[in-house]
Amino acid sequence: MLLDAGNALWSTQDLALETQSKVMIDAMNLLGYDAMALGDQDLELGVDVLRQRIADSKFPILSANVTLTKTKELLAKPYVLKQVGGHGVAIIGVTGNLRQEVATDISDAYVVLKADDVLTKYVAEVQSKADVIIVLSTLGYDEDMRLSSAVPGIDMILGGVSRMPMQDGWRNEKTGTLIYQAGSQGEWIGRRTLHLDSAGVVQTYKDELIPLTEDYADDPEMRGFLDSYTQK
Amino acid sequence: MKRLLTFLCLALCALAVVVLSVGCGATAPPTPTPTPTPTPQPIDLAVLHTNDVIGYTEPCG
Repeated sequence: MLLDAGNALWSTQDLALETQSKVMIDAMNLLGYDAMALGDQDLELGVDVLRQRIADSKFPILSANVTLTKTKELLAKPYVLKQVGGHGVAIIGVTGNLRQEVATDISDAYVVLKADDVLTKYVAEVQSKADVIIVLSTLGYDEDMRLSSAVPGIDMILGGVSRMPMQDGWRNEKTGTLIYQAGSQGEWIGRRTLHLDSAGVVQTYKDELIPLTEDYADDPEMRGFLDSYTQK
Repeated sequence: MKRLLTFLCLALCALAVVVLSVGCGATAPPTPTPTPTPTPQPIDLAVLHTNDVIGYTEPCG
């Protein structure tokens, strides 16, 4: 299962600006992502562009706490349920607040709800359907730690924003929630292996943080995809 | 004659209803065998994850 915890779309880099981040969605489609969360920076694309990117993606883009000011509806799906080896896996997305510097014509379009409330609601909703509950969060590490105590029932929080390259996760001893981040800028990928028993209970886990160095050869298909953009 | 024809018509209709509802030489349908639900097995769930792949170069929180 390949997941992204947010802030993979918005950027000031030329190719992202020229394509309104479509290049990122196309690349993530090619990589076979299973789900991603909307990050606080991703919101800076604006509602209309985000809707287009959500439509372009072959995987669910999630946010349980970003609503549209005008309609009060969620901008994106709050969660997705997947089946892995006969076990249900729920993935919930939560988004952090936009920077204060963001222009009001963009920021005023959203209302970012309090994460505690939405997570309590959706964890309760998916608990009977999933053995494993994963939260993709762009709230920052300190907030992830606080939420792991405030909202029991979450097996794993894969976070961002703080951009910490965590070889080992942090485990909440009271609730058992595991918290991870995988650095930033595509320099690492985290690989966390949970061993579930037949009842779907996490018995043991293994942590890896894999540096994505030049030791890895370029994937020919991805190379061809990037060249098709840069050679235009 | 008219009464006979009426009776035969009604009898044929009744027979048609019986045949259509039961079928000629029909037998009771077999009891369907329930499909067994597979029992979940222990698994290793591998989760690969990324974050902040692009965006601002300095951390925000």
